[in-house]
Parts: sequence; C-alpha cells; structure tokens
Amino acid sequence: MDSRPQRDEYDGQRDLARFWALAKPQSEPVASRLFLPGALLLLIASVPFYPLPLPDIAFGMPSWVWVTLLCSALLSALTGWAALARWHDDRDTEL
Amino acid sequence: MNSLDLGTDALLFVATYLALMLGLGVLARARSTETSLRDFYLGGSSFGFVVLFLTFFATQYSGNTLLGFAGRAYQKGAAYAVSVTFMILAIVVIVSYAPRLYRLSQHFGYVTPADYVYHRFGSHGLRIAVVVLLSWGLSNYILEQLVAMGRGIEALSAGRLTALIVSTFRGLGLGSLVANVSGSEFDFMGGVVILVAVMLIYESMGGMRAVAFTDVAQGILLFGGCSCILYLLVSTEGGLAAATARIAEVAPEKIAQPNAQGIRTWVSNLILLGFGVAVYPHAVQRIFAARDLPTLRRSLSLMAFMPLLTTLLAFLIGYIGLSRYPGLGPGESDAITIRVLTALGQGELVKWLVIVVLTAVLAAIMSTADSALLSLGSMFTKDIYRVYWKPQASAAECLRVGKLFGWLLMALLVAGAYISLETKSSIWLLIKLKLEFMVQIAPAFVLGLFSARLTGRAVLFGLLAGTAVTLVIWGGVMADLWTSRSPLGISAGVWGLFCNGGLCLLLSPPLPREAREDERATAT
Repeated sequence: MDSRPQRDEYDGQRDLARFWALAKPQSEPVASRLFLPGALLLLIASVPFYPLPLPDIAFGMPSWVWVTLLCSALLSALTGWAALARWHDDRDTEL
Repeated sequence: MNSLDLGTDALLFVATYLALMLGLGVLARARSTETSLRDFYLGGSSFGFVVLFLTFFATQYSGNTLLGFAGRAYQKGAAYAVSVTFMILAIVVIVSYAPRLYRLSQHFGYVTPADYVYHRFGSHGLRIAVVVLLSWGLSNYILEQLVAMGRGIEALSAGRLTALIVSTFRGLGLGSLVANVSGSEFDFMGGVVILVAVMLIYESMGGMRAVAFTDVAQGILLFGGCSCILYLLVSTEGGLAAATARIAEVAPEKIAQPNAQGIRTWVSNLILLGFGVAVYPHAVQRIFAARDLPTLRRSLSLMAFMPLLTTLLAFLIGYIGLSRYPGLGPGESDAITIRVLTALGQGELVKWLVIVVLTAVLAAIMSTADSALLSLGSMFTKDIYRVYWKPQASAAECLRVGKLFGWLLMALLVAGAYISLETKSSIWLLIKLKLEFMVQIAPAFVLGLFSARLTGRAVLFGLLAGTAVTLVIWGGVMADLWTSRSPLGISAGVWGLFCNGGLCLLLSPPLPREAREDERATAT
C-alpha cells in the first residue's frame, strides 16, 4: 500500500478499501483506555444533579459552580494529554 | 448606554488595526505559491504551530463567545457555567475524530468537509445536503458576527462614526440624504460596512493564508485582552463575592443549583454545542491545513485549555453584569460585555485597556466571520460549481467564482444584519438557529470515520429526519402551535440528533462476517 500523502486536490475518486486501509493512525486518543471513559466520567461529574457536602457559597461563587469548573479543567487536562501522548503516526515528524 | 466615552482614540486605534489587517492581506498574497483551491482555501496546508494554534483560537472564539455567551450567562446566571464544559467537549470530539480525518486528508487531498463526506459515503444527495446545512449554519454564523460587529463599533464610536459619515456625505454634496441623521444612528451599520469591506479585501487577496495571518494578530489581541479583563473583573468592586451577594438579593434563582428541567437543558446544551461546534466546517478545514501531525497535535492540545480563559471570561462577564445591571432584556443583555467593560473605571490606563479589549472583541468577530466566509466560498466552488455546474472550470475560474460568491453573500448578510437590528434578535437565538441544524451532520463525521457499517443512505435519511424534526419544532413555535423550542428542556436540534443518530444505526445493515473482522481490526 502506498502510504505517501497525495498533494493534489481530491477529485471525486472513491476507493473505500484504500480509505479504510489508510484511515487508522498508529495510535489515536479514542483507543486509549483512559480518554473516553475518563472524559465521560468527568462530564457526568460536571453536571450538578447531585447534592454536595459543601457550603452553598465558597470563594465567592456557588460551590456547585466550582465543581463544574474543576471537572471542566480536568477534562481539558485529559484532552490535552490524550492529544499529545496518545496520538502517533508513521509520518510523525516535523517537515 | 451609560458608557465611558473612549474619545477619538478608540476610532484611531481601530483604524490602525484595520490598516494592519490590510497589510497582512498584501503579505499573504505575496506568499501565495500557486493558483489552486488547496493553496487559496487551505493555505497550501503549510501552517506551523503558532499560526495553526492562533487561527484555531481566533476562529473558535468570536462574537458568539464574548457577546452572545456573556448575554446568555446574564440571563441564565450560574447555570451557564455549562458553557465552559461544552466548549471543552467540542475539543474532546475533535481530538476523537481528527486523527483519522487528518490522515485521510493528507492522503486524498480534501479541501472541504464535503470532500470527505463524498469519499466516505459516495452519495451525491448526502454531499448536497451537507453543503446546504453547512451553508445555512455558516450564513447564520456570519450574521451573528455582523450583529456583534455593529454592537462593538457602537460602543467604541459613541456617535463619532455617524458624525464622520454625515460630514463625508455633506462634503460630497449629498447632505440632503443625511439631513435627518443624528446621534449614533449610523454607528451600527457604518461599522458593519467598513469592517466587512476590510475583511473582504484581505480575504480576496490572500485567501486562507490572509485569514490565518490576520488570525495571528487577532488571536494575540484576544488572548492579551481576555487575560487583562479577567484580572480586572475579579479584582474590582468586590469581585465574585460581591457579585454573588448582589445576585442572591436580586435574583436568587440564578445562583441556585439547577432543578430537573435545568439539568435536562444542561445536558442538551452539552450535546448541542459540544457536537455542533466540533463539526464547524472552518474548524474541519483547519485540520486539513496543518503542516504536519506534531503541529496539529500541539495546537489541539493547547486548544483544550482555551475555554478556561475565553468562555470562562464570557461567563464571568455575564455573571458579574447580572449583579451590576439587573433587569435587562435579551437584546440588551447581548451588550452586557460592552456595558461591563466600559464601566470598569476611569483613568487613562483603564481607558486604553478597554479600547484594546473592545478592539480584541472586534478582532475575534472578524476572524470568525472571515473564516466562515472562506469556508462557504470553498464549498460553493469545490462542491457545487466544479461538480454540478462547470466540471471543466479551471482553478483560476473557480477562485474568481468563489470570491464573487463571497462578496454577493456578504451584501445579503449585511442587509440581514440590518433586519436583525430592527427585529432585535438576540445573538443566542442566532446561535441556536445555526447549531440546531448544523449538528445534524455530526454522525457523518463522528460515526462515519469509525464504522464501516454506516451507509450513505442511512446517514442521508438520518440527516433529513433530524433536520425535519428540528424544523417542525421551530415551525410549531412560529405558527403558535406550541410555545417552546426546547420540549422538556431539550433543544429541538438535540431531539433531531437523537432521531438522526438512531436512524443512522437502524438503517445501516450489519456487515458480512469478513468485513466485520476487518472493521474490528481497523477499530482496534
């Protein structure tokens, strides 16, 4: 299989066998055991549907808002990590 | 508006900024290496880390974020903290599908999102439906930006632009045309027309390269401006604690933990914005425009943190604005960012800071509008004109047609901005109008890149059914058959997406055993 990139513009050709053969990189974030399950857990935890054993107001804002923002920050960190550490390819070099 | 008068310095600063944008357009034209759609619409896929990150950043954060989201946070109070999460979710979704789409785009030379859609599904009907939905979404998106542009210029000008326009007309002997004009009547439309003209000039000169170069300047201005304002907001007039105490007095329900309906709306917003923003065509085209994988990976990694600066800032502006100016309606709350900024304080330093930040708001708006316009032009030429209209058209002809299309569309949208000004549509309404339909293409990307089982027919039926459900819910409200566009607190577009996704899976036949094993191998 020729894995060199094509620099021409796409002109409507359809070769699904080649499409699927080339679609998958060496490793990708969705294949990580941590990324999607972790993201889902953080998303669920960010929704304020549960009672919190915290004072109503903390550091100038409702406590549940801080919980949402904390989960969001962790989701950012998880996504940033997944993009950097769980995404590799055979042409993984800077041109 | 009881605003700080920023004087002529504000208009001079904006004029300098616009001149810089034109200069960057000239530079981009000089850097162009060939006459091809890929060069014009993707900058020859040559963007390095700094340019790619800043063009992602400036494009993703716009008038929606700084004016529309802040206005919504004003109306909804603390519950709009969800905005930070859904903007991060959009990056989660992009990071999930981008590895495959980037790889395919490098091998097959995609220029537009519909190139991928046709390659993957082989359906002309689906390609056209995707282009129509994206064009609808992008046109609304640009309209939002124009409305936001007008509001930004109104704040900066305080009537000076109107006076300038009137004196110009008088100087040209056309004084009778503006005899009844007074105050700041022309600030909104005058500002829109000037900014749009500058945007069209630099974009027509340098295409995606010009848009990306200007995005670098706009992104730096936006990043710096947001950081300063975030600090000023939480450190003046008692900061967050004082704001929360005041909201507890005037609107305690706006700091209460959401009830069951509120939770459903929260989850609906997560789905609608998280998936809708992730398939913005101009964001997809930035994936195609990356020079190499490390560049794209680093840019997306950094983008995951940007909602903690920009979206959080918009949320805090709306939240603090609610405490300081309670009782504003939806139209007025769109201007809450400008109200809060211009009231930050007197003094030369604060005045200049406010000028810089308001110009950054304009920059964010322009950078999004120019990207959306470029994306629309690319889809019209590459997916419609060159395929169904004139297949033998040369690249130079396609580019001419694309630019002409952009100019004509912009003229229509400027007229639309005037109408929206008259009808006082809120930016949030325009955001919903765009995303509830645009999100219907998400299954084609999110499912289509991972499941070989998904067929073009299933995706097309799903997309049409999802769009129909959304239209019926919106149409019912317009025809006074029911009152809510969000039955049970869930957006029309999300109901449509459930129907869409369900049909995609139901109508796609199971793969033969061999193909299933291949697919499993591909998936793992």
